[in-house]
Amino acid sequence: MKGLTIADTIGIMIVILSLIAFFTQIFPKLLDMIVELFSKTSAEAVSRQLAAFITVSGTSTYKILINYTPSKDVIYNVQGSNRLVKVAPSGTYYGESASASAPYATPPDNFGPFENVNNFIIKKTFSESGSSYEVSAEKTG
Amino acid sequence: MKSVRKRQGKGAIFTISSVLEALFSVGILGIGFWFFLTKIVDIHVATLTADNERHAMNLANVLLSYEGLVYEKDGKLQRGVLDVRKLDSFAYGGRSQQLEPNSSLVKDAFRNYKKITFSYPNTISYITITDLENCTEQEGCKVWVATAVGPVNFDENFVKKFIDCLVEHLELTSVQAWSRRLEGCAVGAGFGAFIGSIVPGIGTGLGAAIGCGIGLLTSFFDPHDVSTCGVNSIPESVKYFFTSGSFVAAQGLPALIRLPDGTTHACRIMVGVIEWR
Repeated sequence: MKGLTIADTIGIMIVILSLIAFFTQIFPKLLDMIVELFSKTSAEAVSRQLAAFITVSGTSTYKILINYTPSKDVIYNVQGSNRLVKVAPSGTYYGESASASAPYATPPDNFGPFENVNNFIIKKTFSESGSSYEVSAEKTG
Repeated sequence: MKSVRKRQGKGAIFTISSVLEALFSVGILGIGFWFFLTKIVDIHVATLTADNERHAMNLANVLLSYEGLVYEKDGKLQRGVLDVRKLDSFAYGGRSQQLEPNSSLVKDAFRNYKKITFSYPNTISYITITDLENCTEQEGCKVWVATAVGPVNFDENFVKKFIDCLVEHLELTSVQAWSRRLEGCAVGAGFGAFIGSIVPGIGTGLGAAIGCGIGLLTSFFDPHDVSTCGVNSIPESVKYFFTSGSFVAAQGLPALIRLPDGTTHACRIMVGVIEWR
């Protein structure tokens, strides 16, 4: 009976130590990694960034090329429709499976759809007839 | 001696089994955590931002580089230096006592609407450029006003947001929801029957049935959820108007106006964005 109690106590102690090690060493790193992944690659963040880059390209008075790669590991399906950029992760990632959209203020009104891409190129060029905008996307990495 | 060894062996078996049990529990915990992160939780990393303000500033910044508005010298656009000749063709000119446009000026601007390439979807923006060095005490400063109407996007507007939010909070299964539904039907039927008995041609029965239907529909949603959805769906420009009494979010950006004789005047460009998304 005594042996049984000691054995149980040792087992519980091992578990408690493992849990302490997990919550103090592994869990914070895991959480940090996940939060970083969220903030860099969530569809919400990417749509806002992309919309902001497209709008910002309008402030340029000379030709400009903006290259934006949110992540090499996460790929997206993207479409611009009536000046609303819609971004959806291609597949399910931690905590972020929903699509997101963000508005932008400059042409082009519509672009895409681009599927399974992670690199976005925003171009503003000037010609005799005035300025023109172009948004393209590709998969890199 | 033998029994002591036997007892020790038994203890060891229990220890391994306890550890295995605990590891199993940790494994279950880990799978639960993974399931929670991938399937259940939906984290929004972007916090609520002052969209109206940002959009107004962005638009003002874009206009300060717009080739249809800025002064061009030797084929190079001078960002932030507005050409008065381009301004005259771009916007409706008038005079105003204040930086923000007065109602008659806005009315004139809408009458003299000119299509501007830049604007956010589901918005009306009015742009005011005030010459701060061309002012008189009686009439105020020289002002140019223009409006920009963004493309309409049905995918994102406050009505859709409100309906989507309500659908998310639709309660179909809980016992409380069903009891509330019955309550809603009963209260609605009572009111309906009363109104039906007063209004000729409807009748108590039909009134009660209509009232029950309306009561049933309203009881599908928690009143708290409906009000939360309502508040969350209100366009930001409307919220801004209720708190500040103005649609103009940004206080504008400083710029220069270049006159035909080559002199420059200090000016301010203000953009008010009215959004219904």
